[in-house]
Amino acid sequence: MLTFSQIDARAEDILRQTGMFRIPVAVELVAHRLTLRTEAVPLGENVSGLLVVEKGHGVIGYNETQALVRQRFTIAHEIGHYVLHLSDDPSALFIDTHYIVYRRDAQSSTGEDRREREANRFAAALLMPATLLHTEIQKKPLDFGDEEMLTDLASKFQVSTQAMSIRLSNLGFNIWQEE
Amino acid sequence: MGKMSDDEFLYQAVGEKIRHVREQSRPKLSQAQLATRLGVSRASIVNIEAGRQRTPLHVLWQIAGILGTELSLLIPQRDELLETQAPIKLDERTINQIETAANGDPETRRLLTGFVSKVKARTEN
Repeated sequence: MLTFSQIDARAEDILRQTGMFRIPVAVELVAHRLTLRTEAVPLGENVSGLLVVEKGHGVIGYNETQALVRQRFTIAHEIGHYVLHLSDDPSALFIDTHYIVYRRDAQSSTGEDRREREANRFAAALLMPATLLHTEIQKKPLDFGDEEMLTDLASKFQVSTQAMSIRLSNLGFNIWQEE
Repeated sequence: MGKMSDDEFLYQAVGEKIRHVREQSRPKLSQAQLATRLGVSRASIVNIEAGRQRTPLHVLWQIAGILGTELSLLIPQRDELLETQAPIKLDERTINQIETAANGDPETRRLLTGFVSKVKARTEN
């Protein structure tokens, strides 16, 4: 069981290790430097991506039809499984479906759900490292509108505004309440 | 069907990767824009992306730069080129995971089975 701050630290380590600690994070290159291959593949409507590890070789397949920011998040999420959830078993499979979030009530206590939440947190931390986010926020003029701020940050980090908004609130950056 | 040489597969795979990266670039770069930046005709880009041209290393290097990526991302790894027509038998646990993810949708099941089999088949080689 990992705490969110442990996951954030792990993500930042990976970015520094791979020489990718700058925005927008080149997430595909992070994967490559971890020896993970990435492939854009048709996966239908309900699957964002998957991680297949076979005899130690990892391949991330991400849904080629989804928006670029979504693809980036998916790759980061699968890197999260690779970094956080591989056991001694040299073969593993993680499939990232959309509807898993709707089953949260039924599944909230299962290990699978925990791993998905950890991978999501890792993905957010990998794409939006707290220190870099803080730097960007400090650069903003005080009269910058909330909406505009969110859109601007999301585009700088190449993530969706939704992902940015969740990340900011998870980190306790209350940009909306500040004067 | 005429047999393609390994070289042809290689240039085709490189071309596909260039096209993919170009289409994902934001703002998206058209074939014509890439051609202009590279100082070649659009037809050359069409040929490069189709794998009909044996693009020299320095040109690939320039393309990677223009597309804002690294050359290594435009070059396939050895086993990516292996054609894996022979279906591979998946173990029960994998099949169950695919079933759960597909949630009764045959198309999703087919796509997932295809991709997982392909990856596993590669490591067999």
